Amino acid sequence: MTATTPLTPVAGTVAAAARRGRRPRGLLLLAPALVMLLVFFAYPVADIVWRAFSEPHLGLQNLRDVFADPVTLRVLTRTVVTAFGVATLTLVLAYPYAHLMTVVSPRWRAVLMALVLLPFWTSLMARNFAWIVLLQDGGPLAKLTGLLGLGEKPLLGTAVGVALGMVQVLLPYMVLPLYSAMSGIDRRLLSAAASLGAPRRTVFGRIYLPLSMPGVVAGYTLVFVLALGFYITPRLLGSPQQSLIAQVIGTKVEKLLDFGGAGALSLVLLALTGLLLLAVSRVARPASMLGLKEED
Amino acid sequence: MLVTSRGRLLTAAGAALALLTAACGGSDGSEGSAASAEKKLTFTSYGSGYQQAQAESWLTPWAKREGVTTVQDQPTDYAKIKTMVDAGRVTWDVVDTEPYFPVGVCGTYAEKLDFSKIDKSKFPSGTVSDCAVPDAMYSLVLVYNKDKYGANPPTSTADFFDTAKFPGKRLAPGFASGGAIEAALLGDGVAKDQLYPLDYDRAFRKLDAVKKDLTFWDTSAQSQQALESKQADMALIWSGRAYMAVKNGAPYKAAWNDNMLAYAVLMVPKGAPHKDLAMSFIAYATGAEPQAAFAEKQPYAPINVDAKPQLDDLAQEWNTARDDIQQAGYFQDAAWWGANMDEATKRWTAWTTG
Repeated sequence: MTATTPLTPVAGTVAAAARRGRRPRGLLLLAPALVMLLVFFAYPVADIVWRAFSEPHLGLQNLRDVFADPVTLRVLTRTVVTAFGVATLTLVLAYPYAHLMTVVSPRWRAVLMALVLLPFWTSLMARNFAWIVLLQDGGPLAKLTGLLGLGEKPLLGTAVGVALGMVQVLLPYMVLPLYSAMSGIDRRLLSAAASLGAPRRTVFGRIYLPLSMPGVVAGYTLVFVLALGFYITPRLLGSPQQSLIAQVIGTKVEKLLDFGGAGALSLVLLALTGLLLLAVSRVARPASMLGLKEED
Repeated sequence: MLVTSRGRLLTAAGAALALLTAACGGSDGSEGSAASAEKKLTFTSYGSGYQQAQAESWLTPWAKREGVTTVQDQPTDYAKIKTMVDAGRVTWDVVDTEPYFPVGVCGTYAEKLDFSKIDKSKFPSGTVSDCAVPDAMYSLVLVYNKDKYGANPPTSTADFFDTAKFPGKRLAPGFASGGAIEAALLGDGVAKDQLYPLDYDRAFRKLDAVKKDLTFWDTSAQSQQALESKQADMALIWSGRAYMAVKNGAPYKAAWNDNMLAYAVLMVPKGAPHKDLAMSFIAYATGAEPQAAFAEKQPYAPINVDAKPQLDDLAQEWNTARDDIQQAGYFQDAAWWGANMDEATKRWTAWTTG
């Protein structure tokens, strides 16, 4: 008793010191990433925002130009619609695929994972030129639509062609979060529901789908945001008729040296993305909580 | 779940950024050690075989003669030049650009050239400006699939717009200054010497008439690929790319009537660290012999009127320095484009996305 009492405060301080010591070290580990973010993200973004309001002179004229120009608004709308379409199509393709990954043997899972990751290891330019070959008139895809009795549809230079290319490039960003969410689902819950007499559709709709929602939301958001900023694929697979907002920003910077105007457009895009993420964080939490609540 | 995946994402992003800094830090250190007082010249161009030929025919022999160390960078990037000049840290000495750029920013982002060192009498008239001299010539030319049109091929720009007489898919440059606006006006009957200032409304009306048969190329590699896979029956395309496609077996022929002669230029960014060396290099690169050597290595033509490259028959067929091609063509007006790029791009974007 007497021997231990004086020890307790000592042990307490040691533990506290250890706790204190751990925190600065943790911060130290974070420091490189934080510095990087500041130098390569925060600073350039601040610079872009500043230019949007200061070039060629101080004021709101660049922002006003964005909203006053019908062409810019049309392209902006098209960009958002395309991003929604691409994200939805990607989800439809990726959901069953990710589910398959969770039910097959480890060896097949490795094969499926490699197939998803393959595009990551291939140059984006090589993939885009491969898509040109696939989509061009008389190419394999045109032949396929011909065989299906739809007639040989032109695909290269169309919105459909661009969407196909974008979906392929973005598929891994949907499959991986979905797989990670689905592999964490306790499969006994599904058996339990079935044993209690729930038909398969109910098991899927009331248990599996809600539990996989975090993956759906994460993947959908990621793909949507990435699709908003797509540049090379629409440039090569599309035509000027389907140009997206990144191409307009690119022209402003590269050809016109209009950093202010490009900055204002980027700002609008950034605000749009921010709003979307905000909306998603509102929608996602109740959804995933709902899925969990039903279990309890 | 969401939190873990977000955490993992951040970790991955952090790792990627750390790698990036490591890479940047490395190159920064080695560049910082080179003093600007050294006899050193940094040359920037568009890369690939084009820049390689420029290096072999101009940069290497000149550097040897002058005892200069040379550095190359790529690709040419106007935004980068603007950023360098604005920040007062220019690292490029000589840059290969499109002609409109130095004309539009002469004195602000481009140095005036020293014509006591550079002989401007050997260039085609109208191609020299205060801040740039031409260094390579090419042409936007109408080519057609000879298998498709057989004995009755298109012969002029007007035929490009005549879908009744010459049905088929058309391919044109997909950017404002690409030459489609000029071609439309020529097709509508405007004379070659009356093109500028460009009449947008008239041009877009003419383009509207063929819009459903019209596709666009954005990069020249893409245009060559389109010819090689016979995606277009008629195309407005750079002569160098058409030559390479034909060399690879694409069944196309050129109709040189109304071809739009264009050229690349050499310019010096404002505040370039080795201005005197830059003038000396430009003078050398645009001389008759280096120009001929350059033309023999790649499909762009020499711009020096005294250059006499030795070309094989096919290369000679596409050599835009040939007299008959020069007579049939006209030079795109770099001065007009330098002054009107903003407005023209706005109009072009409005038309294409409409």
